[in-house]
Amino acid sequence: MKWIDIDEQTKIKFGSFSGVNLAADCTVGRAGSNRDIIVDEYESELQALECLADGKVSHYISTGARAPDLAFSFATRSMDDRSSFLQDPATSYFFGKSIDTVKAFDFCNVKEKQTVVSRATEYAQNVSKAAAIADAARLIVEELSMNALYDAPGCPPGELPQNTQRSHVQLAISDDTLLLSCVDLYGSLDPWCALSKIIEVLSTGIGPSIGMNRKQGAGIGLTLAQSRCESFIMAVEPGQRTVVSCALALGKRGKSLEDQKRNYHILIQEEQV
Amino acid sequence: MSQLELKQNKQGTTLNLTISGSIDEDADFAHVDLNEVELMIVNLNGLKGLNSCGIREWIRWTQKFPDTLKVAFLNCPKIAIEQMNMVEGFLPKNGIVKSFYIPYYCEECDSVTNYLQEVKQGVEVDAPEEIQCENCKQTAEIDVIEAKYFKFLK
Repeated sequence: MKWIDIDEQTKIKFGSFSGVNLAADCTVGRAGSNRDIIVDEYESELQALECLADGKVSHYISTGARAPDLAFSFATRSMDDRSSFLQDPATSYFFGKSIDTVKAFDFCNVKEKQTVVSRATEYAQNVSKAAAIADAARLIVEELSMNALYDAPGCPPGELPQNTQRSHVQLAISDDTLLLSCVDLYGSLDPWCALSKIIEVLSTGIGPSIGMNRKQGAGIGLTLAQSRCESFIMAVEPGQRTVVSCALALGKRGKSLEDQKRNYHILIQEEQV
Repeated sequence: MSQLELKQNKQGTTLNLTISGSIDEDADFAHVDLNEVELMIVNLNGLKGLNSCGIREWIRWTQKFPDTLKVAFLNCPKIAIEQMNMVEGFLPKNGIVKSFYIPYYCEECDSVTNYLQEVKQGVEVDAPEEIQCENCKQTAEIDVIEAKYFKFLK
């Protein structure tokens, strides 16, 4: 492993890299502190996720992904400023780029969630160059919004949530990328636990991992969602807000989704003292 | 609340079941009458959505099938085939797929044409590499990784 100290100069240097010339085993970290970013070849989603989880690294950038420079730029900015993404995922993710469209759909119970899924899917289907990713977009919106409801504190075990705080699904388009985000105001997601669960599901298989006796989530939603996107982001400000986002490439064939290499980002905003 | 719609038509020991809408957390298959049914033909042509809770409800239902029940699936869309390939138990033990859709992508007009592929017993599926786009009539290319997408046939 080659370690590179990050300073302002390095950030600029890496902020404009194309991804192809980067050393495959290059790991980037702050001088003398925790590793924050791994830039690596991507062997499999399981390998990438284990790499993140083992070192509690915040960002995994795949050199084989479509736009590693965008992901790397997002990662370096997020090291200093996690709150921007939590407040406005689209502006933060597409920093400096013009955003064609932002749409938000809010919900607070299962019935409204179903309406949101229909409306968001209909919207995504009509986005230019989105034909091949329409099913993936629907599934992602379904899973992220369901998690926002089912993980709501105070939802009685064994019951479907009825009226929780309002959450919303946001769709944003820029630079041939569709960013789907789900924002809730609980901040109860533990990204490291979620990561462990995804790894468990991928290791043991989806079928055996399904929580058959649970009334609430089946426990496989995030695994399904992350497997459809090119960048997967979990961000949380404990007790305040959770944002889970999936970025999908527009104008690509459906089969490219199946073998695409992914970037992962985990952002945890420390509680304000 | 569920958008799922089930239509049943029983003829002797054969049940024709048409499923349309979304299979989600509210999916309820309890009123599908399997009494004295030996063959169930499930038409998935109208299936529009299938989420993680829907997958669970589906497996819960299929796990209750009697061992003697044979199930044939018709017109399976991509979202169902993906789960058959990924989720152990999604395709029931005595279940076979008689026909399924393969997506073809047209670069000219950015649209997907779904091609219905029949499955004949003992005959290997030989899907065309290209078909005519139903939208612009140009060439649409197969848009799945065949080794992965056809895994459920093995």
